[in-house]
Amino acid sequence: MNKVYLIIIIYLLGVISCGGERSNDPVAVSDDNLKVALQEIIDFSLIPAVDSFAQQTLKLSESANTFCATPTENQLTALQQNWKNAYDSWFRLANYVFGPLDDDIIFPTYTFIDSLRLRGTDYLNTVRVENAADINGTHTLDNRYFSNKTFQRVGLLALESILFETTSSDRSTAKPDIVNEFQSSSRKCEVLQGLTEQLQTHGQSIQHSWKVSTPNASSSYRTQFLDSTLDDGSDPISTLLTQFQAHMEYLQKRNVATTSAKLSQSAWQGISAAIDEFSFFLSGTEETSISLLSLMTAGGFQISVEQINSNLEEVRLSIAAKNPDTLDIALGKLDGNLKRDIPDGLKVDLGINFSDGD
Amino acid sequence: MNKQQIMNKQQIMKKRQIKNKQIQPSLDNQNRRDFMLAMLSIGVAPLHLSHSKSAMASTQQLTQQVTQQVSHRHQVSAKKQTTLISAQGKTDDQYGISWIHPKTGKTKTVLTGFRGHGLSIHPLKTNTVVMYSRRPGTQGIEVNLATGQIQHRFKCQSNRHFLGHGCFNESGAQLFTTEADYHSGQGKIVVRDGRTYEPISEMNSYGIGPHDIQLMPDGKTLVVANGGIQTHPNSGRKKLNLKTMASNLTYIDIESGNKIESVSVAESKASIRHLSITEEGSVIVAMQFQREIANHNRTVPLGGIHKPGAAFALFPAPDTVISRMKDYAGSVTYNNKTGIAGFTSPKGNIAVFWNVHTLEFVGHHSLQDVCGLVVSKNQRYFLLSNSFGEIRHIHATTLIEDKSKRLQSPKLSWDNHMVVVNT
Repeated sequence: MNKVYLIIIIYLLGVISCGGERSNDPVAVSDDNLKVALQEIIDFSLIPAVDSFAQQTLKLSESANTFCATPTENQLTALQQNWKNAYDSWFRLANYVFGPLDDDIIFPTYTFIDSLRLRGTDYLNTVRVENAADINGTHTLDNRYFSNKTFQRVGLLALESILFETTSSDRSTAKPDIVNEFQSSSRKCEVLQGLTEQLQTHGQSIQHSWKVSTPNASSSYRTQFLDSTLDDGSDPISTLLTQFQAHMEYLQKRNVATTSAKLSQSAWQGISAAIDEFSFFLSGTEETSISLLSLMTAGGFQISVEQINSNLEEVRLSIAAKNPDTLDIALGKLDGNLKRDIPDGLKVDLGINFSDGD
Repeated sequence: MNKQQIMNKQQIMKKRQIKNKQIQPSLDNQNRRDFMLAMLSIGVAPLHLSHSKSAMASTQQLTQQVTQQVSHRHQVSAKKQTTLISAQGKTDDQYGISWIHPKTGKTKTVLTGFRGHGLSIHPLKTNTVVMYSRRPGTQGIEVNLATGQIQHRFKCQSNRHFLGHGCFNESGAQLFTTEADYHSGQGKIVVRDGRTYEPISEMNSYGIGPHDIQLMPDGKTLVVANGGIQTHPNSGRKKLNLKTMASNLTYIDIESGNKIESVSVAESKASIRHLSITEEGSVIVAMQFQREIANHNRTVPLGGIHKPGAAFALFPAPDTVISRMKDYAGSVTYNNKTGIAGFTSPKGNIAVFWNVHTLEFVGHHSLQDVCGLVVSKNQRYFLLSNSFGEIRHIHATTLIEDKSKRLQSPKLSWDNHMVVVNT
């Protein structure tokens, strides 16, 4: 009799163990699936964006050293391209302005990379004056000097000014003129190297925090974020949604297409990189098994998904046409998707006071 | 960059990083200058005092009490215990008033059928609190915290809606509620009987959209935050007059209804919404900037202090701090012991603190969707609440959180404001 019971129990255990979710099961909306989607966003989109920025800023720094050893037009072309690559990789990463990028209430790291991002204030004249003062001055241009500079005077903008125009009053953008200035002033190279080193330091530090450890904890920010053990009590998916929303709003309301990277004319490329990252966030990459849009579709929000994809396409067409007016409208629609459709589709609560305070 | 360089960078960052603790910013003097004192107009307007009464329909509505035991438990003290009270709930069927005893973690909820906003402790009735519906609601309730019963329900007149706040006079005999006459768009202060809540009279608020209202320490003066934004029940919470909005802080003589003084901040699209009064009679204001109608990108300080008869002073801070508040301060409170004022910004997921004597930014605490903010009865802590049911204790001097006192009530969604009472 006992054997019969034992066989029944073993059989039942076998049936139970065969249940659960398998890789070929259709995706369903559940906390577990949302958790998987979230982890994949971090590992397949966010961390690669962090790595890319660290890598591109490192390349920029190395390229600056190479150029300064032998300033030529060809080397300048390569250096300018490296700046553009770093700029693009920043726009990818700029969707994630939290944690290591927003690590200080008064001196957040992101502002030292892109001063425009704080309020949409263009500090081009500030960096021009600052660069000229450094090049024409006699003070020591060491690491300490550059690390003490305020955010308005450093970062991608300061580098863009030094790489894409002359410091002289005519602001020539001709490469021979720019190279000539570097050849005739060793201090200009010192400024270039000082600024690239600072940017590289930020890139490496952000990467270290996301992947190894943060300044006030022994674990990586990735671990703390995914485990929801951050002190601010933030829910990871809410944080990501609000950060993407903030970036779309920034791109739209601060007229980034016409304000950013005017000397290198790279703004459209940067915005395109930001939208690519947004697309990865929603639809995943080749490695993704569960994406946010697939969860929304499984939850019956197919119409919203189609609308989001349509709005994304509208943004891409505007970028291709370099039309700031249609971009403004299309980004506004994506902003709305992030505020309402996506949280609704994923059943994510952004908070009542956040959404509807008084 | 090698490992040592990374470590150095992190050490620098750590030094720069002053998260969740007291700070003394030494930089950004330019920003500080930018946001320093703004001289503002002072005026006097004619008396507008009318008397009206409305039949207050006493409707019996189903109420439901829900008692929950949250995860954080302590032994019950025989002494008076602190109670934190707030509107709460996310949906029509959840809206209510809830309270929590921080020492025991016990919570109680009474469903109200409407979304509440501000609350007042009744000066005369023990264990009694009044809650007002948020704009453009038309109901208010009196709740007994001991029995968990709604003891009174009151409503606006037919052409009025509440704007979320009210206050009692010193004796508790009168209640003043901020209301809007949505035919004329005029802001009204309705004077109600402090026991029955029947309207006795009303006075002009001297602005549009009166929101918070407080009694000044002299017991004779009301101070009103006229937010300047007009709404109408037919269009819900839609802002109807953003282009012409004009916010002000107005002092009104209780007896006559006369305007004593009215001041505004220089930034016309900054809506003064919430108030906290210091023992000395200064008024700390929390504002919400209407960015959608602004014609510039500048940050606008969201906190300020006004001493009657003097100029308005705004709390300056680095752009990064104000920017983080996303143009929105949800609640304000003042700690008389430490001289520190706290503000919450749920849109920025942050509580920020200024020393009102030096106007210096002194610290912050990050918490998702934080909005409720009150000083503990013994003034040792700033207490924060959010819509995820969390309550945190921030030490009033160090501004460091006492993590051992964290409370989590997952089924509750603390709304805009919180009040504290010893019961």
